[in-house]
Amino acid sequence: MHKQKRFFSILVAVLMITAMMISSCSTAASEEKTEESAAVSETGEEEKADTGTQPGNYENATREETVYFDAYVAHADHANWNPFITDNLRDVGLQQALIEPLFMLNYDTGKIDSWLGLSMEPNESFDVWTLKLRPGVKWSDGEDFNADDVVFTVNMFLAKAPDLGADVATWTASVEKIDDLTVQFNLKEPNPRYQLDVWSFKIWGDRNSIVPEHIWKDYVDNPLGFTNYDPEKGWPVFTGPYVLSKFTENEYIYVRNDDWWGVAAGFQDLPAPKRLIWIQYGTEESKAAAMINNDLDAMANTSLGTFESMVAENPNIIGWESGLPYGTIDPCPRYLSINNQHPIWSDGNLRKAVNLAIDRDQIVSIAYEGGTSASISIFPQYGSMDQYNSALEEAGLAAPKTADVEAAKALIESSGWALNDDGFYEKDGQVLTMSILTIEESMETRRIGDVVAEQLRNIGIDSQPQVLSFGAWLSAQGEDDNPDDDFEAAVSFLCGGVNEPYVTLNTFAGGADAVKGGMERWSGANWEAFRSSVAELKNLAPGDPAGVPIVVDAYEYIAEDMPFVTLTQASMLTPINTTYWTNWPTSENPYTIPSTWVQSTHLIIHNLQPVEQ
Amino acid sequence: MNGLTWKYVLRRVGIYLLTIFISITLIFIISRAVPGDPVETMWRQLEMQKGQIEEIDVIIDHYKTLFGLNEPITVQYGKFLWNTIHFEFGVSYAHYPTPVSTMIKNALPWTLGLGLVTMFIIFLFGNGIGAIFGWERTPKFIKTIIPSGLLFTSIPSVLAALFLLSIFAKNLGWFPLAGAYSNEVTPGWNWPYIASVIKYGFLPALSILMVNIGWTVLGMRAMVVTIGGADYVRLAEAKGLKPFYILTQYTVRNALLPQLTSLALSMGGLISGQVLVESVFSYPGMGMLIFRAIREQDFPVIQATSFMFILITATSVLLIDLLYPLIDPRITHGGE
Repeated sequence: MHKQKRFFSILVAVLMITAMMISSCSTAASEEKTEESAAVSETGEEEKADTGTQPGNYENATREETVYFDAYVAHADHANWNPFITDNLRDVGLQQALIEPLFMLNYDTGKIDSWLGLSMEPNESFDVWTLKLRPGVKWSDGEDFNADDVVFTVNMFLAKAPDLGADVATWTASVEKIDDLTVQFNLKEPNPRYQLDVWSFKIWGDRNSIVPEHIWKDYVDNPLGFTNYDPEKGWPVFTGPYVLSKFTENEYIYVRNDDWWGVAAGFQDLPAPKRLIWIQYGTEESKAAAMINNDLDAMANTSLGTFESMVAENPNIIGWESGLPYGTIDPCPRYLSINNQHPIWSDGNLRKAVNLAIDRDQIVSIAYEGGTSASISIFPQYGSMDQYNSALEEAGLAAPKTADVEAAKALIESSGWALNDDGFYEKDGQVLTMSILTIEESMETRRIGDVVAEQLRNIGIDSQPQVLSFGAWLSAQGEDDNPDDDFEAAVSFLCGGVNEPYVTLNTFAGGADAVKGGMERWSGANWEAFRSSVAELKNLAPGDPAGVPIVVDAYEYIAEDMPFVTLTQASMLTPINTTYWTNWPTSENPYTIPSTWVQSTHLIIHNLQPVEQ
Repeated sequence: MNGLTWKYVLRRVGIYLLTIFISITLIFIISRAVPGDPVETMWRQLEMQKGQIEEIDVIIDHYKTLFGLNEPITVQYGKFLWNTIHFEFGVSYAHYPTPVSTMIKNALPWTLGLGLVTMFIIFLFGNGIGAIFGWERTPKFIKTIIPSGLLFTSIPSVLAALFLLSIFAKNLGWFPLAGAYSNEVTPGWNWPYIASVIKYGFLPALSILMVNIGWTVLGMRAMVVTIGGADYVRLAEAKGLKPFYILTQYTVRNALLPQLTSLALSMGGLISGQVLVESVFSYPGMGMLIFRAIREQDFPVIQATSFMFILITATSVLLIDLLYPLIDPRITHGGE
């Protein structure tokens, strides 16, 4: 009996301890909430004193003074702040809060805006570029940012490529300091896009960030081995208006540097947020919950369904547009890549038939539920690309939005194919098939593949989507240099030019591998003529109006061979929470793109204003 | 040696080493049999997401050489085997030049902490509840209540995680949505940090517990019912020993042995079952690491984490096998 009592006593004690632990945790949570609520509700000096709003002491800034961004990928080694490692660390605030670019591309105007760099001018032959730095720029430790830093960094790239600065080394022969604020770049060959492609934020971030010579000079032999992190020395040191405060396993916290150079130099005022936090939530469901609970201010790309369910629970959540498609376009349009060397699909008539058979509006309404738009061309439809897309429309080269089934069938039949009893085209006992490769990790490509396959089956092509992992999807298209790969088609995406068409078109000119002519393995007389047009375009500066007729010419060769089929603009739906912060970029206030994982987030942070509570 | 012989120990350790060797070989073969080149895939993906990369073919070839992927397959295998048994897993492809060992070192304590505590609770409470459930003297109403508590056993742990996250984190706000500890505490041996770790780990632990405890309960119940009819139990009853004494000293003690084996075998499953739970709560353990590595096709990390899972399971089974005779004096190895 004594032992029985003892057993139950121990059992009860264990249960009670567990209950107490749970209770204490819940209590702690309530207490934190209460404190937070108090801080939210109270106003005046007391609140300021309690919440660390004193200049330079923003580690404990209030919720109203803090912006929470979605860090969609966590960093592998939290104590490594080297900006050149092939890691996603840059996404978690490094390039949005700390590293400022020399220049920043404006997607709407197509112009290159200055930031740390004041200007960058080429000579007439585009093989010497002169960079003028903005006066008054300082590193966060107070040292001057000047030509010595630029020359040091470029020389480090030249010595260590391709581990870092591969594109700098591709183009740059040498660099020289003219004066403290002027640097001259001598190129190996002319490049009108040198400033844009090598030294500007274009799609994700400036991969070739300038680093402080006075710190990095001790690590020049092994720059990738330098962690760039020592809180006692104030590292990492960059020029941005924030400095690293601390990090946890899934949060990266930055506090405002009130001594930021931009104020004294008359460049910009201090941004309003005193603290920035990039926080990683595990799944889309937990991110959505955080948005609904006002624990997150900006979320990375999400699905339309998730967005609508969030808005239903929290009306302060908005998108780029106030109605469908809610999002804006992504720089990487989706298209159907076709193997031009395939025994069947080498027939241009069949590829043209596919182009006519596809109802792009239907793809938008079914695969995207209205959340994007049909593509006019292979280019992203940003304002800066309007002149090219309009010229293609005027020339009758734009992709049709709806299908012309009869014309598509006529083209197939002109190549000797006839419908069999199953309703599919057949020739010499062979059924006309098209297997469409889609990416397992991408719901978007899978949905597009389903709709396109259905549309092709409707006109008599026995088409089936085939889902593969990204690696297998790449491999099946011959990225492993196997010319015998017999893939038929793939839903693909192309992150090319966003303000001018050269980079995009060059992809099909065999920019990476002239033998294959890109994944599509386009070849022949039209491809040769197309390549000549692209070569002509290469020598023009981005945005040069002389490039418009060249683009039209190039596109005529595309229309004649139809090596690929354009489909849709990619949708980028980035939910924003306006409970604590306002003046986010939207279609009505389009000062920049709304992606908070790219370097143009600097613009967003400088524009944000606190909501008056 | 209390039932153990050197011959048995050597044979058992030999099987253990053979298991490890075969596992390393399989990991090597499987990772190379997957379609696509991991370095090329990573860089092409990077290019597609972040814009054109100049001289990408040169970069890809450079990294393939750097990672030894251009060497003959036999050389690659030899190096992989040698490095793995020395716990040298190389560098991450996706997070180059971060050593994989650093990533594992950062993640393993969280997984072990979460996994071992959860396993301890499952073992303690699962067996306790199972014993009560199977004991013939337990009141009927308790036997009716217990099965309803095992409702979650039949659902995947990721669903349990989403359910708990929705109720206790999103709607009630009692627990955080993600992470391992609050950014307001300083990591170290201090109470605010420990309390924060408990608070942040509570829902992930509960998700794993809810799904796994049922098997332990049912296993223990079955053992208690079976042993309840054994001769030595009847003899104890005939001797007039107290029923509860018989339950704890005769029935449960004997029933625990197969439960210990099951515990060892479930180590790997439990830890790998944490993969999705950790990803739901953004809990920075091995599960999150392997989940991210699969998404990034980061082969060195996938290989290393798979190896660690196998090593933990194989070692647990080995230890249990060797400890068995110490736990139960009736068991001898070597026919003695």
